Amino acid sequence: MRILLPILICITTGFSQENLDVNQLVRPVERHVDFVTEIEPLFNRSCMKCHGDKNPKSNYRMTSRKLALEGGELGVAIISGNSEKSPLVHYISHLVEDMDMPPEGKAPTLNQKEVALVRGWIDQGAVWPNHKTKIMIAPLIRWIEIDGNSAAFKQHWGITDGFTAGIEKLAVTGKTSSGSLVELNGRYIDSEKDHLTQLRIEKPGLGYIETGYESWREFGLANGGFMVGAKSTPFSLNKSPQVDLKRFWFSGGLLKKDSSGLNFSYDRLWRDGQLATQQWGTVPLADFETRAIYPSVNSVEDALHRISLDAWHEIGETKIEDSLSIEIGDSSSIRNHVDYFNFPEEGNLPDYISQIDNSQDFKRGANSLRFTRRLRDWWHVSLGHHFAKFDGGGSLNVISMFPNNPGEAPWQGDRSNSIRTKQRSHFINATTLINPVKSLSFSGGVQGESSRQQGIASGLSLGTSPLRFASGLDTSSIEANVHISYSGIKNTVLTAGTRLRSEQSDHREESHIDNDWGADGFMRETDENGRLVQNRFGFIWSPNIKWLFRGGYRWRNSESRFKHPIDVDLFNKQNSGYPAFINFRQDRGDVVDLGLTWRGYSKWIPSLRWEQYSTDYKLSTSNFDDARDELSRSGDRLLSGKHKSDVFSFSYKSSLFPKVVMSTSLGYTDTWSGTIENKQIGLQPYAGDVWFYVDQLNYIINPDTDITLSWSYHHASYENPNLPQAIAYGLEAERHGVKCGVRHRVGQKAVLNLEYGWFSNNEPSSNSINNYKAHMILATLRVDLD
Amino acid sequence: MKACDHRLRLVMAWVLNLPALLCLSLLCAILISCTTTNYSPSTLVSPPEIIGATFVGNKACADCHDKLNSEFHGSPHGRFYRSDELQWASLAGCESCHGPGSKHVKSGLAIDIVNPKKEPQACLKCHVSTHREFSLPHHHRVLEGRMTCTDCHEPHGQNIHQISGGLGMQSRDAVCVRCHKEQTSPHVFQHEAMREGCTTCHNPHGSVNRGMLVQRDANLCLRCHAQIQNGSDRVYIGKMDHTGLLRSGTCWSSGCHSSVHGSNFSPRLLY
Repeated sequence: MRILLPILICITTGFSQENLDVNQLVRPVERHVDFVTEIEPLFNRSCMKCHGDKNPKSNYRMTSRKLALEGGELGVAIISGNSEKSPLVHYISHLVEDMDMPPEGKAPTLNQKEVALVRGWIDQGAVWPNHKTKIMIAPLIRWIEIDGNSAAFKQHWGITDGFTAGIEKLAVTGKTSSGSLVELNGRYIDSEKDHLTQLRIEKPGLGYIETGYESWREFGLANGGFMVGAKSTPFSLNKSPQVDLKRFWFSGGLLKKDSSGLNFSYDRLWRDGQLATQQWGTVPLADFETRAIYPSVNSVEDALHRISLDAWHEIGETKIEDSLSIEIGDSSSIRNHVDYFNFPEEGNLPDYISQIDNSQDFKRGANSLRFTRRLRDWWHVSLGHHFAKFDGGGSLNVISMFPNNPGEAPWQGDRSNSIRTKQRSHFINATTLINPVKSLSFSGGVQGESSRQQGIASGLSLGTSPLRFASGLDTSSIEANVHISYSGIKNTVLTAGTRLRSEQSDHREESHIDNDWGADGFMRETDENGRLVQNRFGFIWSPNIKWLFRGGYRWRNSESRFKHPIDVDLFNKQNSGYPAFINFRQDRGDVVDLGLTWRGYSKWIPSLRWEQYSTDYKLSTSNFDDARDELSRSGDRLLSGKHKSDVFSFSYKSSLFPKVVMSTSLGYTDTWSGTIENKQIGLQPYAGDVWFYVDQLNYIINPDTDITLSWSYHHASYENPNLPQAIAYGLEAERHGVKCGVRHRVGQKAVLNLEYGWFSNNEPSSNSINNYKAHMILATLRVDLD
Repeated sequence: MKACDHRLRLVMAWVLNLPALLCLSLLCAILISCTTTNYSPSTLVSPPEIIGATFVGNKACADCHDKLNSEFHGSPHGRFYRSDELQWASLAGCESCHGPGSKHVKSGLAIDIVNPKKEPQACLKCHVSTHREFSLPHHHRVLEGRMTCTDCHEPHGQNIHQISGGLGMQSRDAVCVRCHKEQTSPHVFQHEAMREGCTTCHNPHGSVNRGMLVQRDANLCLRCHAQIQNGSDRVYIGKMDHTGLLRSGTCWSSGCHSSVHGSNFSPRLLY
C-alpha cells in the first residue's frame, strides 16, 4: 500500500493535470531571474522544511538542480524551459486539488509575484549555479613571554611560549552539481604539534566518506608536588615532559531512505612521549625516615588500531541497532624510581635508580545489539545485549642502577615475560519509556551483568627466585532504575527516581615466591555481597516566566559485606593473607541542590545555586595476628572517613547597557574530609576551599567592531594537614588569566582580532617553584571567501 | 569547629566580595556604555544565540526530529520539560540548548543551529560549576577544544553505553575506557576501587590536584583502607602497621603503591 499510494496519486494527478486551467497561472517575469538572490531564499522559506535532506516528503529533495528537476514519488517536478507544464508551478499556484504547496500551516505560501519569479526562472532554463564554495581561513600569530616556570604555564594553559605562527582554523565547504556536500577542515600550529586535516564528502540520502589526521601535544609539570620546607632545586627535571598524541581515521556510511544505515570506521591512534609522574626517594631526617616526592617521567609509546561497525535498520516501528568494535593495541612504558640515601644537594646524582620497564599487547572486542520498538506513540520499549572480551599479554623487567658508581653493574630486579590477563563480560537490559499523558513521564529498566576476569604471571623475583601469581574475579550484578516526572501541577515539575543494585563477586588471589630463605606468599578468597540504594527527588517551580526555582535531594547508601573463606600465608597460618582485612564497608551520603533563576528583566538574568555533598565512610575490620609483636588483634568498626563540601555558584548574563553584553560566574567550594577516628595518629583532615571567577564582557562599538574582555581566576587554599616533620600536603595557589582584545570587521570578508593576555600563577605551597607571569600578544585574521 | 570556621569564612566572603564584584562589573559596564547610544546587534556572539533567528517551539523541531523528541522525556534533561508553548522554548525545550531554530527550520542546514557537540559553551551556560572545574589547573581539555561534553555524555539519553537515563542504561566507566586503556585494562592484581568507578577517586572535569584527584593526600585512600583494630592506637592497612608511613607521602607516590590502578606483578601494587 505504501508503494501503491504515490502511484495512485501520481496517476490521478497526472490525469487531472491534463485538465488544468493554465490560464489561471500568473505570467512569468521577463527579466533575468537570479537563482541565488531571488529563488533560493523562496525555496528555503517555503519548501525546504519538507523537501530538504532530512526526511523529504514524497521523497522529493530540492537540494540540487538535478534532484529538484527529477522530482520524487510523484514524478518530474520541474520541466526546464517550460514553467507552464511544470507540476511544481501548478502546486504552488494552487491549481491541483489537495496538492497545495506548501500545505497550509507548514510554511508561508508564495504570492503571485513570487510565483511569477519561479516561472521566469524555469522558463530561463532553471539555472542553478553550483552551491557557492565557502572558504574560511584564520591565520594566527602569537608571542608569549614567560617569567617563571614555563612548564607549569604550558601544563595549565596548553600553549607554548615564544613565537608561534600558524593556521588556527581552515574550513572549506561546498556543494557539487550532483548535490554532494564537500567539507575540508584544517588547523596547523606547529609549535604545539597541533595539526588537523579532515575531508568529508556527503551525498544526502546516500551516505558519506571521511578521512583525517589529527595530532596535538600535552604538557606536564617538571617538578615534584609537595615540598614545603624542602630545597626545591634538586627536585626539578629541568625539562618539560610532553607527550604527542596522533590519530588517523577513515570512515564511511550508507543511508537508505532514513530506514537503515551502516557506518564503518577505522582509527589508528598513537601516543609517544613522556608523562610527568611523581616518584619517590628516601630522605632520612632526624629520627625517622620520611620520603620526598620527586619529579619523574613515564616514557610511553602506545599504538592502537580500532575498527568499528555500526548498523541499524527500521522495520515499521521497530529499530534494530548493532555496534561492533575491535581494538588491537600495544603499549610500553619505562619509568624510574630514584632514591637518595641522604638529603640531596643541588647537582647530586641519585644513589640509585630503579628502572621499571612494562610492556603490554592486547585485543579487545565488544558488540552491542539493541532492539527498540514504539508500541504506541506514548510507549517505547528497548532490549539490549552487550558483550565485551579482552585478552592481554605482557612483560615486566626491573633493573636498579647506581649513577654515583658507574663501575657497578646494574642489579636485576623482578622480571616476567609471561603475563596473561583475560576478561569476558555480558550485559543484558530491558528498558521502557511511557508517556501515557503529556504531563507524566515514566522511564525504567533492568540491567544484568556477568563478568569473569583472570590473570596469571610467572617469572623471577630479584632475578633468581621463581615466582608465580594468579587471580580470578567472577562478578554478577543486577540493577534496576526507575524515574518519574510529573508536570500536571500548575507551574511545577516534580521528579523522583530510584536506583537499586545488587552485586556478588568471588575474588581469588595467590602469590608464591620460592626465595633463598624459603617460600613466601599468600592465598585468599573473598566473597563480596554488595547492595546499592540511591533515591532522588526534585522539583522545578515557575510561578511565572520570570522565576524559576529548582531543588533536589539525592540519597545514596552503598554497603558491601566480605567473607574470606581462604586467608592464609604459605605456612597455612590462618588470617595472615595480605589484603583480607575488611568485613564490611559502607558509604552513605546525600546531596542537596537548590537553585534560583530570575528572568524578570530580560537584560539581566541572574542565577544562584547551592549544592552540598556529604558522605560518611564506615569500615569493619577482621581479627588478625600481628606479625610484628605476634599479638592477636581483634577487629573493630570505625568511621573511616567523612567528606563534606559546599558548592556555591552565582552567575548572570547581562545586556543592561545598549552596547555591552556581559556574563559572570562566581563559585565557591569548601571541602572537609578526614579520617575521623584516626586524626591523632595518622593524617590531619584535608580541608580547604577554592574560589572561582569567570567573566566575559563584549562592548560593541559598532556593527563592525567590538571589544572583548575575559578574566578567569581561582584561588585554592588547603591547609597543611600533616604532622610535624612529615611531608606537607597543603596547597596555596592563585591563578589569573586575563585577556582583552578588539575585533574589527575589515571590509565584508574579514575579521581582525588583536588580543593581549596576562597570566599569573602564584603557588607558595610549592616553594614558589610553579610560579609564573606571562604576557601574550595574539593576532588572528579570519577571512571568509565565497 | 573547622566546619564552623569555614561557614564563617564563607559568609564573610560572600558578604564582602560579592557586592564588590557586582558593583565593579556594573561600573565598568556603565563607563563603557556611556560613550554611545546606537545599539546594533553584533555578529560576534557566543552560543546559543543565533543572529536573526527566533524561537519556534518544540513542535517545530519534532516535525523532523520525531524519534529524538519522543525519547527525550526519559532523559536527564527531559525533567526540565514544561510544555510545548512557545514561551518555554528558550528555557525548557530543544532550543534552550540548540538556540532559536527559525533559520534552521527554513534551511534545514546544520550551520543555522547550535550544535553543543561542537560548542561546549552551550552546555556550560547552565552547568556553571562544571565550567569552574574545567578552569582548574588539571582538567580535561574541553575549553581548549580537544574534547566536547558529548564525548562522555549523551544529553538526549538514548545510547545504551553512555551515562544517561531513559532508554539507555550504562556500562560503568565505558566512556573512560575509550581513552584510558592503560588504567582500565584488567590486571593480574586489580585495585578493587576500579570496580567502584573512576569517579570514586577522580573528578573528570577538573581539580586543583594532579591527576584530577578529588583529594591530594592519603585521606582519599583511608576511606576504604583504614584498618584500626580494637584497642589499638595504630593504623594498619593490609595487616601492616602504616602509622609512620602515612607521614611519608601519599600512598601512590611514596614508592609503595605506584601502580595504583592495578599491577601485573605486585599484589601490593608496587609497580
